[in-house]
Amino acid sequence: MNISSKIVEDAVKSFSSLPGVGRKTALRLVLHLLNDKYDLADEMSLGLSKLKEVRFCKQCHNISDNDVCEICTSQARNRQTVCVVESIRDVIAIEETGYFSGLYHVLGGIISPLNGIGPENLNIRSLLERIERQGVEELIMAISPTIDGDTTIYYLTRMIPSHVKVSTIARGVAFGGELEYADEFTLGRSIASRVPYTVQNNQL
Amino acid sequence: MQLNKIHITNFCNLKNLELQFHPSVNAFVGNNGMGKTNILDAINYLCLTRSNFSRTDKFNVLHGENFFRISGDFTRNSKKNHVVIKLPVEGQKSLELNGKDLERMVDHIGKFPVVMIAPKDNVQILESSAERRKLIDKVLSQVNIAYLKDLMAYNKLLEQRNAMLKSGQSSGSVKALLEVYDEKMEPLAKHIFLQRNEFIEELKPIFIRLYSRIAHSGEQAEMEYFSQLSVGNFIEKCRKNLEKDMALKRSSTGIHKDDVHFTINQNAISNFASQGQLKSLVLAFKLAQFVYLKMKTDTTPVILLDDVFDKLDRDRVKHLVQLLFEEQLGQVFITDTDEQRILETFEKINFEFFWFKIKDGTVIQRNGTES
Ligand SMILES: [Zn+2]
Repeated sequence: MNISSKIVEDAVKSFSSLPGVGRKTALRLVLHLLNDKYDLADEMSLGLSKLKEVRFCKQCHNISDNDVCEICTSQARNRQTVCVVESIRDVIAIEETGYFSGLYHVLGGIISPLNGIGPENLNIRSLLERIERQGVEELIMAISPTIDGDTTIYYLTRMIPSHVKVSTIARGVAFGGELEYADEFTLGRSIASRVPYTVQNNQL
Repeated sequence: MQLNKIHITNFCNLKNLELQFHPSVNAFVGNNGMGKTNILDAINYLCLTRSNFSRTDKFNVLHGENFFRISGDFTRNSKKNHVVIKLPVEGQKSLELNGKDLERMVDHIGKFPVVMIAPKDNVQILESSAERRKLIDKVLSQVNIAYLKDLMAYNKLLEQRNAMLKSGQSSGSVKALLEVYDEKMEPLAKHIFLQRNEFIEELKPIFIRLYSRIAHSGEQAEMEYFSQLSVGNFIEKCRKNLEKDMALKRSSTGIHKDDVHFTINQNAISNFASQGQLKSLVLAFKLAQFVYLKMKTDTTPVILLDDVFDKLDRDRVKHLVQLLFEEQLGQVFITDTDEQRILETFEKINFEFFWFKIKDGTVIQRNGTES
């Protein structure tokens, strides 16, 4: 690809350094911005330069515009229940469901010494402090169902005071899914972690 | 169980090979390095999704090609099965059973049981406790898939524990994590210990009987399982060794320290056993595994015999073949460099069989006729 403008060439280079964006797509995006009549490029450049101001919430380590994020400061949320997740993406995914009204705590990964991540490399100390200070009553562990994920849950459970209730998110057969199509591992786990059935349970 | 047909493409030195097999004996003859063993290893792949020789998959791709593919038609309890295993040099190994992709390779293990006896076993059994454990794990995994899953989980945890120890950190939270690994490893270690213990106890009488038949000398062979888990409490031992582990930077407690000791007339084999004794011992151990697998699974495993007649005189070969058939082997695949020896041996006992003469990765003769 030979581009007659160095400016456009540089812009294409920047776009194509994004994950999932090839050179062809990058060129298409840049040409779109060039032809755009609504100052989209200006708007974007302003927004992009502001990204530097984004920080991490002092309390839950989620992304935030202020010292403490909007979820942590919201009066509408239940402060006694904290959902422990690996990453910011998990917070966004759970928020999208609209089913959770407690607070979060982002660990920043899971324990894996092979990858150089020990307990001290994660936001664990701040979680323990929060539990005391904030009077947390329940922790929901929304962590990958892998051996390392389980190790992380086990470790956390060992470190927190015994009066705090710990639960893990249910892992099992998809709602509306038929049992014969579930793989045996998922099905086995669903049976092991079965839940009591009541009439109230029947409603979503 | 039977393998009726195999189609091998770009595997080791086998460019493109299609073979129909006999339900009882199939013999591959030819000089060393021509590809006989590779055919056995291709069968091993179809059964266990991997090489018997623990080589990296990629190294089994024919030089200059970018994939290998092996497909086979099995009959198991009168049901037909088609297995395809593919390995692209760049990408993931995949396995297809009856047209359906298998998500995890481990789900295939045990469906088509196999025992391979190769000269390398002699070395393995002497070499290290790790190699001896591998020989046991290979059989137990085929009998009980839960065993293999426990073992994989245990090894993953052990790897993480060792990585934490290697980092040299010793804070309170690191110690707490090491204890977490111990507590998570404990139930897995107990399961594995119990299974290995039971396995060796069941294998022992079969092994002793077979050794005395093979060795033909009145010598008494024995095998004994050793594990730290046989006495005391696992967690207590881990706690006691924690400081030591941190100093040595490796885990000193667990089933990864298990071993099996072999003796002949109460002497350890590593010290004195002759080549002949060693060969008899390995054959007895491996054949015992075959008998065990046959007993524990609902089908007769396929047996792969690589060069087992090597350095045996005619009488011993005859004797060994007799024994093999007394144990009611199912389908046998056997290699030999000595064409005359193998043909005579099977003809003498009036056995129907197919034979293939292999040269440079291709079949140049089948059952006496040019290919
Ligand atoms: Zn926050």
